Amino acid sequence: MNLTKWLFISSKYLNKEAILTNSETLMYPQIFNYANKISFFIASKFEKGNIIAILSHNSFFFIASYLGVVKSGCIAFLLDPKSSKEELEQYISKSGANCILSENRLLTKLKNTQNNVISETTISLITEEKPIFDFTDKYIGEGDSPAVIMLTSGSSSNKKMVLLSHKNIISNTKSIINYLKLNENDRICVVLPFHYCYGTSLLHSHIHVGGSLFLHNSIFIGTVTKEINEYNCTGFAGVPTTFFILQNKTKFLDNKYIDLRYITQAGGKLASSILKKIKIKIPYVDIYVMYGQTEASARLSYLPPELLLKKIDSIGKGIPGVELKVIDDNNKPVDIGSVGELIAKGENIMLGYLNDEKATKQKLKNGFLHTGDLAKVDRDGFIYIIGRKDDLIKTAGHRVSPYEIESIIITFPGVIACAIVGLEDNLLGESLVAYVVIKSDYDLKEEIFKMCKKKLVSYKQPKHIKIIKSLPINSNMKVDRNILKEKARQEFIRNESGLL
Amino acid sequence: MLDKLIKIFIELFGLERDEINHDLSYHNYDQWDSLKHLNLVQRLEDVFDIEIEMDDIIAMESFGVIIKILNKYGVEI
Repeated sequence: MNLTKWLFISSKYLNKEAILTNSETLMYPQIFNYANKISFFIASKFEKGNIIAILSHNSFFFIASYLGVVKSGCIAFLLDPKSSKEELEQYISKSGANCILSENRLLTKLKNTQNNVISETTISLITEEKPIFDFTDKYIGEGDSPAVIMLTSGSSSNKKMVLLSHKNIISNTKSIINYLKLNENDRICVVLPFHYCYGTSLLHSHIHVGGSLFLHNSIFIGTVTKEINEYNCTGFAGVPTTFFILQNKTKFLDNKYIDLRYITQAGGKLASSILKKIKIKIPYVDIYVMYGQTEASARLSYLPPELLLKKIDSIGKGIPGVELKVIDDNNKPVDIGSVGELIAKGENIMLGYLNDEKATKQKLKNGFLHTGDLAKVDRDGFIYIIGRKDDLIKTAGHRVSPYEIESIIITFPGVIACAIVGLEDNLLGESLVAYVVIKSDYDLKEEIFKMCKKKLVSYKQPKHIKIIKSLPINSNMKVDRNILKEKARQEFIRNESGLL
Repeated sequence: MLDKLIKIFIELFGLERDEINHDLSYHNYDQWDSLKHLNLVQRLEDVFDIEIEMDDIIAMESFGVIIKILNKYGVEI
């Protein structure tokens, strides 16, 4: 079935709010008609399977454009509005997009683009010549045909374009609705961008059940501490950075929430100390730790909230319909407690990367998605991510996971955040550099060195520690390790060249 | 003190000195997004040794307003 048709299958005629912002509310029939209008416009100008890029912040325009393009049988390519002009140009030309639907305030970013740009204003001026175009019978684009292109996280130079089918997303959405027990009374407070698969999954799941979405739109995320109650939100979804900021900078955990039923956290590992703190401070809210990848339409696993403290640090088990395995170099499942690569199978696994057969073949083997994440399994089948295969640092003959060391340094008093990267080293192969964010101006460097020597075996001890104001974050709100690696190279290799 | 504030803006946003005026705001300057805003708060707190309340963090929408808010915290600009 066509994704958009499926999303609205029982919600399109609901006489209730669908999307709320601080200033405006859209009811279900309104958003459905807005999407239909765009769908009709696109279908009248472009062929099925054409790629239509969408450049917009979270807004009514984004939602209607996205759902409209998908409904028309064209493929929606979701761009990051934070990208630079040059990056946008590069993605647009690489994808072969036939046109770009752009929010008005982002048009300046497309000045140099040769492609057909259609602005929000142009869309608003369309007056339907026919009554609302109804695709009731002849849905073009459905099932295994591609519906969406999303960019993976990672630095801009190696972002990949993930091609997802209608079926991929429908399957994943069904599963998410099932384990989060979503229904039409649910309202999610959205701080994640919709071009990012975790954000898009919020849109899909809530529209399908006839729930609603509140779009947070303030310069400072701290306003959600008030908005969650003000807008009667039942759910809140964030990445590690979200919870980091909220618990360090706001009264998020001191509030009493009236309707909030659950919180989800994905997009990287959140320190267990913070998870515990959230659980203790707001014990009546269910906390779902989840794991996924853009290549899996979003979600692959979740940890049932009642097991949070018992299985802290675990990403749980596969979501309904997803098979997860941890395998060794010979493709055999690893023993309990041993490390291997996490692989996944399910209807949610992508069609492939756009125009990149080689990368697709490396990622999809024998029907399994090779996540590139290293993991362990415990006696009860719960999975623990140890690190990225690519992030592993080879030092003094050992393979060291940066996450393991980060999770120890973060427990030191005064430390707010930490990232470990490898640096070329003549003696060790790679040496460890720790970038640490601390609470005050007081230089804790020596203290941290001392603690590392106490708590870590010698080959896991950082050679350099650098206090930094904040960790660089990429567009998907993850720590950008490539920037840190480059920084380490500049700071330490140059300094040492005289000594070596 | 004004110099210190201008320096923060130059470093954080990569602006030239003459591009900074009271009307510079996140409404009219694209680079000023939510992450940068948070970095800005951090820098202001570090440099002026203050702790900014949440309501003020939200209200800090322009260079001019920031000066007023800093005054409230006893930073003379």
